Amino acid sequence: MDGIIRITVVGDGNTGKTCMLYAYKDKKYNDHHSSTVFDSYSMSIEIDGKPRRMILTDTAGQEEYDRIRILAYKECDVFVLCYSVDCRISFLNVRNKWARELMKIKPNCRIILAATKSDLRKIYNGCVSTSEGLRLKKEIRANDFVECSSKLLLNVDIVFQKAVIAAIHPHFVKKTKPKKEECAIL
Amino acid sequence: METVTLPSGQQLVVPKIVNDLCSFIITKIDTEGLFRKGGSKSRQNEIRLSLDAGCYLGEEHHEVDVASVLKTFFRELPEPLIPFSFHELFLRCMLLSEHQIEAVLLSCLLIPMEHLNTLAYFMQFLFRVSEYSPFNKMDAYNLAVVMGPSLLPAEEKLPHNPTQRLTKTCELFKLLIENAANIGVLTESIIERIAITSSMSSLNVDDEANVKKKKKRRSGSLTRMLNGLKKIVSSKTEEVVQEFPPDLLLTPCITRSAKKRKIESAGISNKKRRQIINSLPQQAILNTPYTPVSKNPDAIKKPTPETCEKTKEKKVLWSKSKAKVEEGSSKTAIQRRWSAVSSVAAFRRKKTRNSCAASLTHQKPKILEKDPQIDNRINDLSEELTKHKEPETENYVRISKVEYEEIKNRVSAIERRISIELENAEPEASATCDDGVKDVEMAYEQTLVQTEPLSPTTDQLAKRLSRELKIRRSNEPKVFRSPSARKIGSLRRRSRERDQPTTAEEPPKTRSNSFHGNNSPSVVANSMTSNSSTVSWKSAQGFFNATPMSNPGVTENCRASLAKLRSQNAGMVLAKAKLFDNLVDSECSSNKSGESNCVSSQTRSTKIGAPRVLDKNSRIQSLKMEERRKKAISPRKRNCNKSPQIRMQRISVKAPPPQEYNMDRTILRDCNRRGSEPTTSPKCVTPRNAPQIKRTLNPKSPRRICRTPVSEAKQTPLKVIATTRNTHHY
Repeated sequence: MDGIIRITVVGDGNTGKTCMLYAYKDKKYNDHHSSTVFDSYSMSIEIDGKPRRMILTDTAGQEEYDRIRILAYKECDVFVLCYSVDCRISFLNVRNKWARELMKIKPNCRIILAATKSDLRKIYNGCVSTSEGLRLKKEIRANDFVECSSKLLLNVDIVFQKAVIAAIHPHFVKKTKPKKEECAIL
Repeated sequence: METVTLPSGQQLVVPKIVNDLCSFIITKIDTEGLFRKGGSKSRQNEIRLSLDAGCYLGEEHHEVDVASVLKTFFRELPEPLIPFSFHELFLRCMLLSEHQIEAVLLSCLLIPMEHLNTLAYFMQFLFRVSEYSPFNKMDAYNLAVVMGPSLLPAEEKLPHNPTQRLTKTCELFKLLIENAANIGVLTESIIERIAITSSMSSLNVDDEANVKKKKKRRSGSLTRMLNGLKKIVSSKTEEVVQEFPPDLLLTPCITRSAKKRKIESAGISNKKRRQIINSLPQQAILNTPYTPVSKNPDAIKKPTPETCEKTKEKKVLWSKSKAKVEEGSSKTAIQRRWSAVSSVAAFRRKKTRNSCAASLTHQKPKILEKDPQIDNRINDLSEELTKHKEPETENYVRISKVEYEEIKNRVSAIERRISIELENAEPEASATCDDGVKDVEMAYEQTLVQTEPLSPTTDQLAKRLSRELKIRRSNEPKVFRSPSARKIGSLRRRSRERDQPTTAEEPPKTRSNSFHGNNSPSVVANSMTSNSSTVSWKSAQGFFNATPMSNPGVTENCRASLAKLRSQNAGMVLAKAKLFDNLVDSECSSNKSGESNCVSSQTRSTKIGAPRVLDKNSRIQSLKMEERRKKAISPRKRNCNKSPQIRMQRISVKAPPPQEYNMDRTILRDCNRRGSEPTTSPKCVTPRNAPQIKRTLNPKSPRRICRTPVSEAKQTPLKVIATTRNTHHY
């Protein structure tokens, strides 16, 4: 390991990935709505008194960009997998699409599940609840689950702190279930 | 496909599904994150299934899902909306520091017609979506980012710099969305240039419509030839005909000015034009400029002899099999498009075939009064060709490649003759048309220059583009050739063509020819003896001579070339007989093997003599026979039948008494001395020959021979190898 922590943010389109990164990076809410193609920021953080470089990679959620996004997966320590609480489809897609995609390309990857736009809970009914999020976390065997709001700058830092912790602590390596041995004859 | 009239007055032909989905999405255009949100995969699959089943979209469908389905549709097109071959061009346009918009819009004109229509429609739709960006938060850039990879996907192999490529793609589509109204519309500068070019040609709408109608039924290559002919003839007779350029490559631009567009929107619909263009050579093609509404009559380029000539040359220079495939595919495309017309046409064609050459439809427009004879002949041949070029339709006879080649040769011979006859007319025509070509080429060059500063590889790109679009680069030497030089070129080409296939293609050709010459009496039961002995040659020849108004000059000319070909064939037969001698040596004595030469050269004399002395009736009769046989014998069978020829030769070598052969030899010598003179009667040669053939071959019908190819294989392994290779051509 070269000491660089690579964090990649993935999730459905329009879930607030870019906004979350901006909120973490610039500590302010950026209300611009523009789709991301591919972006990466480099920043320096201090861990245990030592400065470490951290590279944050922003990806596009649309399936058109599947092939480009995969390029970012190769050298990545932690994934921040986002869904937005006001959009149940994005929540369902975590299970149906994203977890599968990550497992397929990086079977032992570490995942932080992040529920974005938590401020919208007060406005809309039928948002994805915290308990549903926790259940999903267990289901996809994510390392952690955080609910955050970029607009209110709430919990955004915690998302990335947990990501860094997951990246540098080896005991966070997930235990994989031993696969059932397949019948040799079949 | 369906025609859509946009608010701007443009009429576009777009896939029905695209129109359906877009009009559904437009009802909910203010949804936030339209096209950006992924939607549910399972619901999208439901929508896809219901759309596939022909159902309509209803209230229960979510617009985000519908938008995703639309994206998926574009993404899963076999050829993306902007075809792969144009990706490089578009991305390089985006690297320009100035005139980006112009470059991109001009590049748009190069993509195929259907693509251009759909692109224009969809970009205007996206522009409308972006107008609602305060509500749906999807501005042009957002939409470009979301749609870019669907419309211009990266190739299978990941590009060197994917991120930059993607950024450029997004910029490109942002630009396209913002300039959606101008996609497919020509700029004023080009219009001016074209106006200059076409100002010399006056407008005659009735004639134009007439010509278009007639053209629908013709095959591509001949139409091209005829276009050139018409041009020449009409300019000679000072009757000007309006036509679309036969080969639109030189100009990416049939056009009309922006003002005129609106005035003339009631003119010919785009759909109709597309159909017309489709009936034109090369199917109108990659480069058909997009003319959203009716065309500007002033802006139509004159088809020039040069263009025609070029296309012809290119065509001939193609590898033969490829050419054939091309013909077939384009033909089917026409057929599909003209399903209504084609059924009638097919019927007529069939009828013509049955009544064989006697009743030919004279569909030539009146403009061609000057040379009706030639045209009639061409018509006949075009009929013949159309018949032969449709192997997939059950109505039509399957034609072997050999026969196709023969017809092609014949056509080229006629072409040559025509060019000689019309040489007087040509200088005038080319003088007037040269300017036009120059202008168009200038326009093209300008386009090239615009893209030139892109990078050092632009030249390469342009070359590639021109290759794909079949554009002749303006600096190539052929463009400004004089008629005589062109003639020389065509002669040279023809001779090249003749030399070329000696290795691979010639042997099967001769074999099957000689086979037909010898074996046909056994195939046809018994009544036809000498008359039908030269099957493959007679078909075209018969057509030729049976034409009511035949031009003796042309016929003679053809005969000379035919005689040359025949003597070539005979040479091949001789060579083969020699080859065969080696096999026979073990069985036969040496003097008998010498006689096998004689047998084969008899074949030759038969061939030379046969078609000439036939009277009209017997010709027609034999043609009918031939057609029946063509139906009966599949190409495969024909191949199988090659071995009987060998067998027959072998048997005939043993069987007949040597005296008779000596007599034949004297006759043969006569034939050789006389060359192509048609004095040798086949009746004095073949009847002597025919009974032998019948006797030897009667026990083995072709059907039986087909069933026992294994034993043949044992006898002549070499031939069998050749046969198997040959079958791939069919």
